[in-house]
Amino acid sequence: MRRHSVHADPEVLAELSEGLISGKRATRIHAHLAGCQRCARCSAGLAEISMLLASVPSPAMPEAVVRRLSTTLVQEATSRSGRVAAATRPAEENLSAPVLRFQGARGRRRGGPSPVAARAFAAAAAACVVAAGGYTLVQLTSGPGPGPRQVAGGPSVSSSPTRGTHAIPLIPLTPSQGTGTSNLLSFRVIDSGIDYRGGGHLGPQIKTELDQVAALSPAGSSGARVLHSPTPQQYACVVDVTGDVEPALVDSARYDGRPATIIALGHLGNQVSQAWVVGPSCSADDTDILQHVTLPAPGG
Amino acid sequence: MTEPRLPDLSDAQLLQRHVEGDAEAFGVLFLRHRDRLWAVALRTLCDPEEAADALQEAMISAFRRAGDFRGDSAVTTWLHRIVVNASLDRLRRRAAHAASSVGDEDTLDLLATQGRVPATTDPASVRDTTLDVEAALRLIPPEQRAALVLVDMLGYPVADAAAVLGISVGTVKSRCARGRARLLPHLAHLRGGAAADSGPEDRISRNRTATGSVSPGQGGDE
Repeated sequence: MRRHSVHADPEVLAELSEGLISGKRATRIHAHLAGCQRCARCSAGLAEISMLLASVPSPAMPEAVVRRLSTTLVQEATSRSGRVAAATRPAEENLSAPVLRFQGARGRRRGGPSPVAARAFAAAAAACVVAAGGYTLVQLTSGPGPGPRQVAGGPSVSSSPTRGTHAIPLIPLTPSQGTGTSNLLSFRVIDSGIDYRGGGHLGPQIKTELDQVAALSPAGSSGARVLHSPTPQQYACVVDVTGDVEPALVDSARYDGRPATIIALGHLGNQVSQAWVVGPSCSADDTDILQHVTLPAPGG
Repeated sequence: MTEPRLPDLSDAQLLQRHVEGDAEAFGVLFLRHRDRLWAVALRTLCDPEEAADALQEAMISAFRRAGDFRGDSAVTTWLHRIVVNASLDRLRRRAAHAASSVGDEDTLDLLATQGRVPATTDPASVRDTTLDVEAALRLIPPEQRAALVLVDMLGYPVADAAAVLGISVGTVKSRCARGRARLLPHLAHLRGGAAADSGPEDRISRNRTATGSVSPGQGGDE
């Protein structure tokens, strides 16, 4: 059977279109293309492949990954400052502190941050997520999007923050079952009824409420503020959102007119802190984070 | 005079601040470019979890090696290079692992050499261009994929892609050309089937057939 001609390899055609073939060889291929519909179509198809690839949208980095990497960078910054501190204060480095582990680099990390470094964690964490100065909001996706545990599986995090200190929340990187955490958090929930507002109002509103809750008596109530124990869903939500760090404020309230819960970490000393606004469906499976806000340091 | 806020600084200024000990500067730099870096890692690795791991490695590396940055390229180029290298390193490790454990389900690169669509491809999603493109990208060698991700998917100039990949412009073009040719039969259905009849049986096989009027391509880097 006689073939019409010997067709050009798509790879050759692709190289031709990139200008990688020249001279007589290019002339021969062009001549072949002029008389061969099939190869001409193939050549056109290669150009379409480029357009097809260009048409695929680039996904934004998932919020969970942003948090995870921000946390990693904070820990790096803490480690760096910790090494400086260690030169003058070599003792007490073996106290429990958050330790981040991840695939691939396991064994190459230089160890977790020192307690001093851990205290610097919160400030640096916020700084990493946030533009310097003032309140900065990070608009996060709402709805049934993947939560941190769904997106960033694989690596694992173990954390054992000292109770009462509010270090950076370590993002749970390993899918876990239910609310099974070894670090029981102790916190209570208030129903302030406040309608928190977005934009520049959110941070100051949360700050004000944090201050009020901090002033509450241990008995758990003060004026209109009544504290109660969290529901199982609230507990799971808080654990998931803060990454096992005890919150200073959990307010079952409203956000821009809709039911929402405000979760805030407390300030440690003179450092910045952070807070989240989560939707009603926040649970162990889906954090339903609506907003993340950094709270400036007291007096800062 | 007030000091400029970090977000107002250029990439190079942020990196310099980081090197000088500023604890926040690198985080701002990362956030500024996170989506592009994520796209590079995700498209190169074809796996969000692997991409997150690779990015984590890359950012730690960049954080620690910032002092080595000499300014002979843009900071973004430097960041991209670290991410691409971390991604390709992971793929090489994965390939080595797959080659040493037959039957491991993590054998994308082996599949690539065999030119088969993964069995996990969901027929229901065939119409989804993105999913189809992602599936097809898995079938080409990682180096070609990385070049196509930078040039075709993210729209970087070839010279920039070359700087990121640490190879010549010609090599980038070659990898892109070969990658597109490999993708063609897998994506033909998305472009009206024009390439559907470019089956291997009718082609001049590269470096194998000497009888055709069109000689096989030469050069390249693969």
